[in-house]
Amino acid sequence: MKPTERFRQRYVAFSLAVEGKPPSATEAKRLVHEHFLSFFGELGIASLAFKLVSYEEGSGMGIVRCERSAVEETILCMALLSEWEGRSARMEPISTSGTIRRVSRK
Amino acid sequence: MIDLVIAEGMKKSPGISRVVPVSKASNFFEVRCAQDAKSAARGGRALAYFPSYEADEGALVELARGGGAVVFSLSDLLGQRGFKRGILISKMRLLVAAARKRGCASVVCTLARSERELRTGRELLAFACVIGFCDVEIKKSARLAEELVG
Repeated sequence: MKPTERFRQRYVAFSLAVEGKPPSATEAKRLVHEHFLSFFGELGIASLAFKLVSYEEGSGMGIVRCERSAVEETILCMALLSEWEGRSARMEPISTSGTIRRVSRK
Repeated sequence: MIDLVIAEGMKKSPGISRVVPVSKASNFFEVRCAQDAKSAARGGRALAYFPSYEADEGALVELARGGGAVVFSLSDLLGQRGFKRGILISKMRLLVAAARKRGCASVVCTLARSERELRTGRELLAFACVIGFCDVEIKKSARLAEELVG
């Protein structure tokens, strides 16, 4: 694919907590996928080029990828997480960048 | 950026310069009917919050004349799921467009009832973008909130 045809990606670093503690990797993956799917829908997820890039169980820090034009929607989606399976949850966006390296540094 | 909240004694989130309870803002009005809208607009420089996000043109024109603004609350979305949340976002977008058409300004805040509902400045910015604010309106909104709250 030509570089001009490729979608422009952005990486958003976040911190995740369920009842004040970082969830396990399995639970975090399920939570993030289901929350984004609930907000965007199947077609929206496809348009977003969404991917959970990484998640660190100890600190609750993770990185998601999205399309450049949908960064604000992605951040709002994170902000709208307030509970998960009856427990209070919070997904706070930390930083945004075009590369994983830079967003991890911030 | 200022954040308007319902509860008192809340701490600031990152990106928020000041947290102001609505009880301290004398020009904040919750508008439930046309009469409330007229009372709010009469005072001038009012912050009008429409819980149903439905406002008639007359109310918006009066608000615009008085130099006031319509308030959009992020915590209203936190209490909803699925289709209902989608409908609420849609209503907010329509109200933003209607306010813009009538020359009325708009302001975003959390109207948080607890610490759990507080959000950062970046998240409020994203909320404003998604409900239809353009870049100019976002800057104006931040400045106007400071002026109207005082």
